[in-house]
Amino acid sequence: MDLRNLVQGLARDLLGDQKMSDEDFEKIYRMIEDKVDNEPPPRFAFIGETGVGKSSTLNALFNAGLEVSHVKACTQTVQKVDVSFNEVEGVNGALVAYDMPGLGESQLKQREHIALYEQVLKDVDVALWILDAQNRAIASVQQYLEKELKAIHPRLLERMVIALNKVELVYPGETDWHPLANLPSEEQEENIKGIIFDVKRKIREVLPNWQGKIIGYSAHKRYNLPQLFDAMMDAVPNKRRWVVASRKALADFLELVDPQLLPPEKRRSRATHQQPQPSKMSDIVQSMPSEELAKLAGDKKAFLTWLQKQGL
Amino acid sequence: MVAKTRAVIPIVKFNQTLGNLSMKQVLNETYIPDDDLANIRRRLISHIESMSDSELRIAAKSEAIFQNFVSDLFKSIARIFGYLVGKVVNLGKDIAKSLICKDIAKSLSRKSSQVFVLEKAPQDLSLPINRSQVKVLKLEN
Repeated sequence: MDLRNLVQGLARDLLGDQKMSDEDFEKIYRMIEDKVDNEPPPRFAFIGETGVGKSSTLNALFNAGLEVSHVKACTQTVQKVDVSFNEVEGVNGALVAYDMPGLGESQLKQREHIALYEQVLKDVDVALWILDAQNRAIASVQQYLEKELKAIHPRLLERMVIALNKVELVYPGETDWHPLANLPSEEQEENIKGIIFDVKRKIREVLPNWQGKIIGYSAHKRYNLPQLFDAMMDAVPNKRRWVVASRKALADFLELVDPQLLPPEKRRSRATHQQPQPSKMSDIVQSMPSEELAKLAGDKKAFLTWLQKQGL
Repeated sequence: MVAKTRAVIPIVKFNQTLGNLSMKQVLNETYIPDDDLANIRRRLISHIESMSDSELRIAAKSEAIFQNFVSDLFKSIARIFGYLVGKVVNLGKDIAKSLICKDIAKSLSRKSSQVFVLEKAPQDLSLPINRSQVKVLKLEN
């Protein structure tokens, strides 16, 4: 959403016959822009056991660029990750996502981890519990929920989103995943529904008031990411939702679909999206023709107009 | 002179029954038999629609709140600048409208049928011959 247009519309609607000078408008607009940019970022806890794909999920949802390791747990300490976002550039960075270490690594680590959970969960807007969709035995998860985490922040858990990652591996397995349509086979789809039903039942056994959602998705296949993000939005307190949405940078599902299967309009939109776009201001400046740069260097307004014209 | 011959790769679709296994031979790993293609395309389109619905919901959940946030900021700052500030009537209208349209479409598609009951026709009269003799029956509900 274009903030300037929004403020102009508000000025028209709210001031009636009063005329606002351009100078006043510009001052007010800058103050609003500053407030929007400096709104404290939302805090997310991405929690779950080792290897469930927390970092991949962060990357798929927010383009966080975290290191993803397939050999060992790569997130050993609670780290604040300021992930990139694609709408309004904020001074204090973007979404704060706590990539929580897995609980199942060892008894010793587990005790440390629970202490870290206690510290972090009190401070976040929403918790996303990531499970491996193949793992039917969620007894340990029930135990953590019931004994350890429930005591920390019961209200937080009631809104918790359960994210079932790696649905492409659900029985009969990855070979059944449709490689061209990037979809589960019909058999897999039925099995995924069954797992969701099963997990929902088990979570309700320990958290009868749980109001969250369960979403089957694949960070690797970029499958069901909008659905997952939508469920997360429901878990964010109302007034903070726009901040979360402005950070959304989902990995493109259609990129992994064979173009021959796409409807024509999606084929065209995919072709447009495939044009490489510079992501950092330094890249934009570097790619600008030198005369253009010299002309726009001292004029912020003209530079912003130029950016808009370039579709950046 | 060598006769130019065009290599023909037969599109062989046949079933090899190996015990209970039925295998279908296709040209290559990306070949999709016609009958499967329509089904896959239908499922893909349905998935893309579900993604679009989610995107729309995400936008709706955030944008009206964002507009309210900016509106509150504008009101408080404009007052400091000495302006008299009124109320916004249609804030978030467009977003809400798109959602309402979707809801209406959904409710229309699943509207339950209503049963109307006619009063009982008189049994002792013969059937009318002329249109003017027709008796109009009323609905009981």
